[in-house]
Amino acid sequence: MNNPKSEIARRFLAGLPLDHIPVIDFHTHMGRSSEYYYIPFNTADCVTAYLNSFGIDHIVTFCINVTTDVAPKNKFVYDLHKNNPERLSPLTAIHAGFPQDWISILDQGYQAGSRGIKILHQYQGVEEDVDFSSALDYARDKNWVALAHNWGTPDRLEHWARNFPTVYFIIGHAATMYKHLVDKYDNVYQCTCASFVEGYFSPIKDMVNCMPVEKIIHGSDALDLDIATSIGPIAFADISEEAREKILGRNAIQLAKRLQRPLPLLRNY
Amino acid sequence: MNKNSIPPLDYIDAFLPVGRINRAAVQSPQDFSDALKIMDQYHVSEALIYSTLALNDPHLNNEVVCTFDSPRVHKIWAFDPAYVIKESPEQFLERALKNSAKAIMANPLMRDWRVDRSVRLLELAKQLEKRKIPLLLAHRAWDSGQDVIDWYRMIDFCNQFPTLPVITWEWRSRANRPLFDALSQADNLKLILSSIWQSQMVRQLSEAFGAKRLIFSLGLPFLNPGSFHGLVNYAAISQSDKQAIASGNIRRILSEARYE
Repeated sequence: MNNPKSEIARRFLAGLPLDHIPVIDFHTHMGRSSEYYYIPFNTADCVTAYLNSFGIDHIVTFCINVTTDVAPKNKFVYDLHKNNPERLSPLTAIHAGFPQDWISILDQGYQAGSRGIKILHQYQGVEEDVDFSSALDYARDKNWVALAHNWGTPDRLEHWARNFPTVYFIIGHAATMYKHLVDKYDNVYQCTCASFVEGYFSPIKDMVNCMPVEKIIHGSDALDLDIATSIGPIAFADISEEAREKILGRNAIQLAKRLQRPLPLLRNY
Repeated sequence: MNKNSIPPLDYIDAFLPVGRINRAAVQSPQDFSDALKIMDQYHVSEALIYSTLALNDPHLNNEVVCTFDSPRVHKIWAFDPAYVIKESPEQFLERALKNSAKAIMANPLMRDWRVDRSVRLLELAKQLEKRKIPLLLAHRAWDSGQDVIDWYRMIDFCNQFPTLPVITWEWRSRANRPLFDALSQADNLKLILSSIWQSQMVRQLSEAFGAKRLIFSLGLPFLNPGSFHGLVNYAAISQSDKQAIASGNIRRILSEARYE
């Protein structure tokens, strides 16, 4: 059998933490329960141990299941952040069906240390043409990101990216359909989340081949998806070790620096 | 023991496909030589192997897998439950065993027959149980894949054949509440690991129901084959439980089956 040449792949196969490089997870959910499932081992201690097992320095996180009231779900995430700001940065989820709530919800997030907005309107029973302008306007002077499960058509994402140049837009799931926007706009980044589901999301190599690797950041969807499903496809991808390291952490660190809000790391790398 | 000195796990893929299929992963094997290469590339020592044809044409699967020949590969034969087929389930099983089949699979979504009401499947299950030959229930319709197993029906089926190893697969078992119920009420029910995508479920299922319930697969034809080793080897469970999931469980099932 082939022995991996990649140190990242070697460690992944052995179940060892990737503590030789910075690892940031930019797409995670925290919560106790969703309509789909009960969430095992959801407490702060369990989550920290889980992150440590993979050698993840820091996660950007938001609540799970935003089909009902988002405020109490957001609070669960803010409390985790308050108790462990070194490991978790929160984003604030909004419900696309209730735009009248957005500013107060975002204000609560800002007070709680939020780093941005989480959009998930495909799960919220609304049409694709939701106007997020007021929420993005709130974000424009705060060094925030806006991460969407799915931004809809490239035209829609381009509209937001062009009109809100100080908001950093994260394409939440692995895709190549926005590649020209990732290339063209400084404030558009591509997340790798769910790349392992290849019939629906783009493989890692496809993304690396068609957009600047510096704009690709790692995301797992934990505690929905297991973190292994995000690291494994990067570890085994037919790309350089340098590209793997950039995707797994270094690119997110650079993004946080651009936002003037550096992410705490577990050690000096 | 220093974690760096722990030997790598030995992996068996209990459900490795060969052939084309809708929405396949880039690396999914198109032919048998591809399958052997994938096994090497992803550190899989042995595999139970089927043709993607099995999901909609069992007879063709059985012709195709007869051409696969390697000591690292064990053949899965596929069963058609159509009532009007003249060959009895007993005759089918004899023919499968003569052709070195090590497991029998059926697809309940081919389409909408019920494992607990199909006359032919119930008869086959009786024959399989006598020999403890594993039954793989692979649930796949071309236009659906998530949460398509009726776990409460699965409880009833498993309880009719309590010593038959029943292994289920679907693209994604996302709804875990009915899954927990099924595992709690059917001791002979086992899951192909690649159906379980949720964080820390390997630990949860192992703690609640025992690691013997989980059986490794790379996740092909639909999922990136580099994804699922990590669900096992990063799980907060014992090293012996990890090895059981990676290959021990399926090895034991195969060793307990009576194929003669």
